[in-house]
Amino acid sequence: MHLMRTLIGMTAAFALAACQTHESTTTEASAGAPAAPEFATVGQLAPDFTLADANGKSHDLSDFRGKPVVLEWHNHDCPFVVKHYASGNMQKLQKEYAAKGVVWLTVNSSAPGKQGHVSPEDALRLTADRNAAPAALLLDPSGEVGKRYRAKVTPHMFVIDGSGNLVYDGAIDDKRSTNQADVATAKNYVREALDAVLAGKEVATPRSEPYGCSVKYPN
Amino acid sequence: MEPLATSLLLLTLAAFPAPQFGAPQPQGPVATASAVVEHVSAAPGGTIEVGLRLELPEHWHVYWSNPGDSGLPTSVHWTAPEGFRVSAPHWPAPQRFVTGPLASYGYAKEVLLASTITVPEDWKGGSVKLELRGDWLVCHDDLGCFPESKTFELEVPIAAGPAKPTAAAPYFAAARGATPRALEGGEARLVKHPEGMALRVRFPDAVQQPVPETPPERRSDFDLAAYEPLFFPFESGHLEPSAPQRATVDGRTLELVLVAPLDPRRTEPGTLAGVLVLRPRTPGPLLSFELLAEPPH
Repeated sequence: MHLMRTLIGMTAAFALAACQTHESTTTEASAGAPAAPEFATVGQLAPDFTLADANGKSHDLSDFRGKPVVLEWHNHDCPFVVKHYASGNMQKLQKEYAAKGVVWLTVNSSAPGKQGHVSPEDALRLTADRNAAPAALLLDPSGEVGKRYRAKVTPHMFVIDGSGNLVYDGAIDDKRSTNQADVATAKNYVREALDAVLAGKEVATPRSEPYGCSVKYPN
Repeated sequence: MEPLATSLLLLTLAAFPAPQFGAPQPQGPVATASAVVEHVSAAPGGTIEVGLRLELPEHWHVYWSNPGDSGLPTSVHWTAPEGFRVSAPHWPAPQRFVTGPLASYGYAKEVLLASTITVPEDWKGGSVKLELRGDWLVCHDDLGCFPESKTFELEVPIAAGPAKPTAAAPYFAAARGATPRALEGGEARLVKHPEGMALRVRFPDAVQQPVPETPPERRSDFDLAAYEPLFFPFESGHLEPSAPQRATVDGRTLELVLVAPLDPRRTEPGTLAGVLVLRPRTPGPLLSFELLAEPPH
């Protein structure tokens, strides 16, 4: 019963938040120096946040202003995430774009007791074991940041340009599957978005339907 | 500790061994899968119902053709000799599973995804060999998702004349009862609404009862207010899966508010196709309809 009430409450909160953001978007247009909206929307400033990484160091999204940023929602045990790590796809993207000045932030919003929730030590060990290379591995066990980005799945991917605008929100690629073999033939939306940002061009596909496991938010 | 409690604990530990990190993992397949046929044989030129049946432990689910915010559609692939026709699966009405701001569309406990196979009239073999490959993602809110698959081979006798039902026949009858049908004599339309759109459905005075044991020609009155309505779109992106769907009933007309996503990934639909499920508020069979809602005037 208690669980049920919490679920209903969260759903209502989400719907309410939806209405509020619509309003804030309209009022913001007249403001001189727009503040980032509370919820992530493509074409607007990405919501700022402060999160600690697995080493205990605190990061603000605004620290990285001037550089493109990737947000990768992560749960190491999710089969869709495994597809992109076991194939080496994610690590390759992380390294390739780090070399081009992109800041890659891996975010873990799994709540305690749920799949993908790890201690900072385990998070670091997993990163090392898989030879992953994010600029930081951010821990968001309360799910607050995930909900402000409306991160639905792992891996849900976001690309933010050097001016702090959200330019991509969606799937890593266009092959909804857990099959590693699909990586080779898929169109990678994150790569496309980053190449466009680095070339100073418009992102051709700014939104796509993300696919993966649900983000394991607290009940 | 009591000996019984100890052995129960050991059993639990055996089923969910300590993982390297995070939540416990199930060992072995979660879903119990079987390939089933409705009748013991099929006639040349006739049809036979075949299906993939999945039984799931409590708190686990598999997915509908549109999985909602996460997951993967369950996939059923039949291989039959040349000349045989295999229909797409008949998807029973899905359920919605809401967790916080996210929702999935799918099935809990058990589901039968049936297909109709048509036997060629000139089939000379005494039987036919069929192959079924099922792929599904099975998920638990806390423990996560696991891709599973299984391949079956079965042989169905081909013989003229009526065929006896198999032990699996009741599953087919139940699945047919839960499979959406066209809304004959009714109409569905999309109406503009500040939060997205509203689906307005006008029902005829009587609808066909889906209960398997009810003769299909029997139509009866039904009270819209006795059901909880929920709309499931065939395509994702047009509406927020977890949002409440506020319903108003006016006589034979139902209006459901479909909240659009904050940052829609698709442009407004011209038409919206999907399944409307009417779940009775007191125990009883559900009603479900396949709808194609026309855009606002």
